[in-house]
Amino acid sequence: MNEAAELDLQGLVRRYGSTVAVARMDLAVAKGELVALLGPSGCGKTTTLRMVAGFVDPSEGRILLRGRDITRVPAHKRDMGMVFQSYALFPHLSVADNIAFGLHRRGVAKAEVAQRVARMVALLKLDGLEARLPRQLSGGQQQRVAVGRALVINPAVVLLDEPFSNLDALLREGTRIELRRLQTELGLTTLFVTHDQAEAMAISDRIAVMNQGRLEQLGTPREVYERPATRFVAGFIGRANLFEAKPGAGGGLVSEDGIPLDAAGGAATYVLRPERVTLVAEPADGANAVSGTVEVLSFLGNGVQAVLRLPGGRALLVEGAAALADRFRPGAAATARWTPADLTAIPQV
Amino acid sequence: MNSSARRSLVAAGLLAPAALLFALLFVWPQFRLLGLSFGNPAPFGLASYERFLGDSYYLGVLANSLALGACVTVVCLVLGFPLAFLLARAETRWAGLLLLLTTFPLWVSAVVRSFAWMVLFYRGGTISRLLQGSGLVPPDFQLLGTFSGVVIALAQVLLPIMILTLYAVIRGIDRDLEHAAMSLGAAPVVALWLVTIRLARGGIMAGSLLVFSLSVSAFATPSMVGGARAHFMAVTIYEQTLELLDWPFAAAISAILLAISLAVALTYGRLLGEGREEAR
Amino acid sequence: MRQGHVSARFGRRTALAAGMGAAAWPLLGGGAAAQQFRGREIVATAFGGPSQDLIQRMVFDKVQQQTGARGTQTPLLSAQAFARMRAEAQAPQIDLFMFSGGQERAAKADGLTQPIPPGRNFGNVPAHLKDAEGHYIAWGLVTEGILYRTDKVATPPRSYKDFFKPEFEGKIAFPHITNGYGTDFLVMLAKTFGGDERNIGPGFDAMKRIAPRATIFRAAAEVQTLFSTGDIWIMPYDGASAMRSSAMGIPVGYSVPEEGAPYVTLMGCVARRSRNADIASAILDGHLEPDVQTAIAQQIGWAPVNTATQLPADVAKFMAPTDKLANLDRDLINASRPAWTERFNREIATR
Repeated sequence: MNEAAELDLQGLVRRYGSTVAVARMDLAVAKGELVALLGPSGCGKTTTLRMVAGFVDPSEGRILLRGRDITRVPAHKRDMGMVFQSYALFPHLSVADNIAFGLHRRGVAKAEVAQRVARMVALLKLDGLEARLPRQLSGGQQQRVAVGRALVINPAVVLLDEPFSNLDALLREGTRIELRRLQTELGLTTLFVTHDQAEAMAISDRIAVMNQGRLEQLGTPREVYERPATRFVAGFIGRANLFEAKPGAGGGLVSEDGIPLDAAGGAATYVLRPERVTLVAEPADGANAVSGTVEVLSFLGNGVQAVLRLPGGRALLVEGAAALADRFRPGAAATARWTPADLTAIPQV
Repeated sequence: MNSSARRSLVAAGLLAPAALLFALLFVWPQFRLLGLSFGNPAPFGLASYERFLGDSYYLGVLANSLALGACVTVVCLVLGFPLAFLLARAETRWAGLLLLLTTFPLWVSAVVRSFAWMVLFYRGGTISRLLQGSGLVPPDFQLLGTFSGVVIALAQVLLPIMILTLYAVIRGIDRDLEHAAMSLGAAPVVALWLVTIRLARGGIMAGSLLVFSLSVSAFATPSMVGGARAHFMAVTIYEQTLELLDWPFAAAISAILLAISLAVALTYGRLLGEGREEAR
Repeated sequence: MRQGHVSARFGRRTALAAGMGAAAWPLLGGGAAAQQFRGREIVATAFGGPSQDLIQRMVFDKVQQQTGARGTQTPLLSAQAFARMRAEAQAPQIDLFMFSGGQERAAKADGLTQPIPPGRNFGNVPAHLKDAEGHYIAWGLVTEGILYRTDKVATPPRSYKDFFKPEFEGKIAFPHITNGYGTDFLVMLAKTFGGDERNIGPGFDAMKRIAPRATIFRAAAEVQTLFSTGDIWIMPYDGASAMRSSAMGIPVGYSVPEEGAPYVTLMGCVARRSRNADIASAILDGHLEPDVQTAIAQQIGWAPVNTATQLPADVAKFMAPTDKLANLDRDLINASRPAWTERFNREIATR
């Protein structure tokens, strides 16, 4: 895969004094692929993106673009199209001039500039706004100009730094689908920084989950959700119930708070996704079943989320169909059940 | 009384002392000065203005002052912008301290500072000797009493003002704008020129105007470092006011200096304003 | 500066609080019979700084001891003092005025003065240093001349003509015309080359010849700096400055030009409506005592006017005797100053 990678990060390290912002990052992005760098703030995802863009020098490691080492190539010779979180539109230039900026720097002929800008304006539905200044645009329009400015130069790699974070929730969803469509159509190799796991899940081919400078897991959205490699990934991607399973007195597994478990593997940390839990009224015995009191019931539209408070103190997360709210009221006794297949072992802790 | 009326009354009340002080200590003296300048011949005459504008010597003094203002402004801008830029973009916590250090010249009185320059500028002074040693100037050359000497001494004290003004403006410019320009293919210098300098225009104008008007009206440094052979407006005004007691003439020179400073400010503002319109 | 030569030439001295010595009343054992002015008070202006302290000690305190009159000095620049004299003409708060800018003549002409009863020492003051009708009298002089670096100049200069010696080219400094000594230098050059106050042309012509290679300075504070650099060998200035430089270890000498030494007079005169002319006479007479004249010369650098004064040689060499003075027409000089300044700016202070 590394041979064919469009963008290849090899052992990237960035230190600030004694603080390590990025610790040994290895990541290969294939042509036309969209990879999300996902993690909480301060995890090193933005630093990684800025090393790729050429704004931050790596302390160690290499960056390869189509096999060529660009680690020491200055930003303006890297051929990256970047969309900034703040958009960083030139406030003194019109929409058209903002989009044309990169073309002018590349010495593209005037007529062709006009043509390509017009195409981008049409593609991004910015018609009629060409002469406006950035501050005369709405947030969504500004975002589209920023995207157009980055794409019009046909960059080798598109870098997106939280491009949706300044949009309101309604606009955000539509915009990210639109961007994904554009990216697929144009076959753009894209590195995308976000702290929003739902966003990453929605549009990425693969997700690189980062924490404290380390790459925790790299995989497709399904992989990282269904088979989280670490406790951190399990907790960060979606909601999770975690069990520290150890061999119990009867030979079976038992969690740290005494819940008997029946799982495919041996002693390990197991993830139980809330939607895999079934909630019933009648008590049940044996492994993979536990009784408690319904503490919270929240209606989410497409379903219901419940918290079952167990005698040992654990708050077990449960998600089910809306009908769940008809069968249980807060304060009611209930039993949670699941099957061995619902428990996924985390390989490393 | 409704609340908006009350609020404007309170605002007026708060502004009143400053406005009164301003009127009393600034507007009124300015009018008196202007009135005085038309006092020859009494009760109303233009003789003082005719004397200044009709005399190539005084016009030369004016040109000298304007040239001084222009040179000091250019020197401060050329030296100050890179410094202000580096300080504004420095990722070190020492930046604040460094900025404070640049303001040192402002902490010293003009007279003391000028004396220090005089010591360096005398024929046997360090700087004059360095120049003599370089072979660029004749062996008995001294910077004291030269136009260049006055420019150097004034630029030194006015540089912090330029740096402080530019620093604040550059700090307000999102650094990612430079990054965006670079990622779009602009070399750092091009990004600086096309983005940062365009956006810092307001600060460049404010700093330049400040430095220019302080240079043309400076007295202590031109008269001490420039010596007897330096004929500048402020020195001439001083001479006419305190040595020769020709107040109407001194007032007329002051009025002319004020008018020209205002004109320069307006023209400069217009030019930069037009530039901004163009960019739109 | 048209008025207030003291401030222009000696630099501004900190004005000390007036009347320091006046706090002490005479001891009652001072001889009652001699206390002719007992219980009376006199107020005088002063030039401030060390000279005021010296005069308080040697003159005012002594007069108080001998006569019982309590004296108070208040530091005032000559121009301000003259303004006070005029403003308080009807009810003077100050009895005795000290002028250094020639204001006493204007004061007498305006009827602001009265004759002063002559004291013991008045007769020893040359006639041209006092009013014929007794309205004012000098008690000190600031004498000008030629200052030179004794280590660089082998033959002491004797004349204003020496400024044109080829060996002094590039080594000359002279004060700007707005400095009083600069004006006097111009007038003396005019006199040297056939002109005078009325015919200043020859002065400008002569100055023009040395100006291109000379250093023109404004502030009195620059005199020592100029000499200490070693670049400047000769300049027209006052003897007191030479004395100060010499005391600081800079080898600066003073010579009286054969054309005469211009000078500034330190004059006393009494307000017309003052009732204390008798005490003022005692005070001025105290100034003129030879020991006081000597002390003033030694410590301040002001030359004596009492011809009976015998100065030690090391002090005498920095001042001109009263018979070597050049009398300039100060009224005419003051009237011509604006025109001369303009001409100076255009013809002399050029590049």
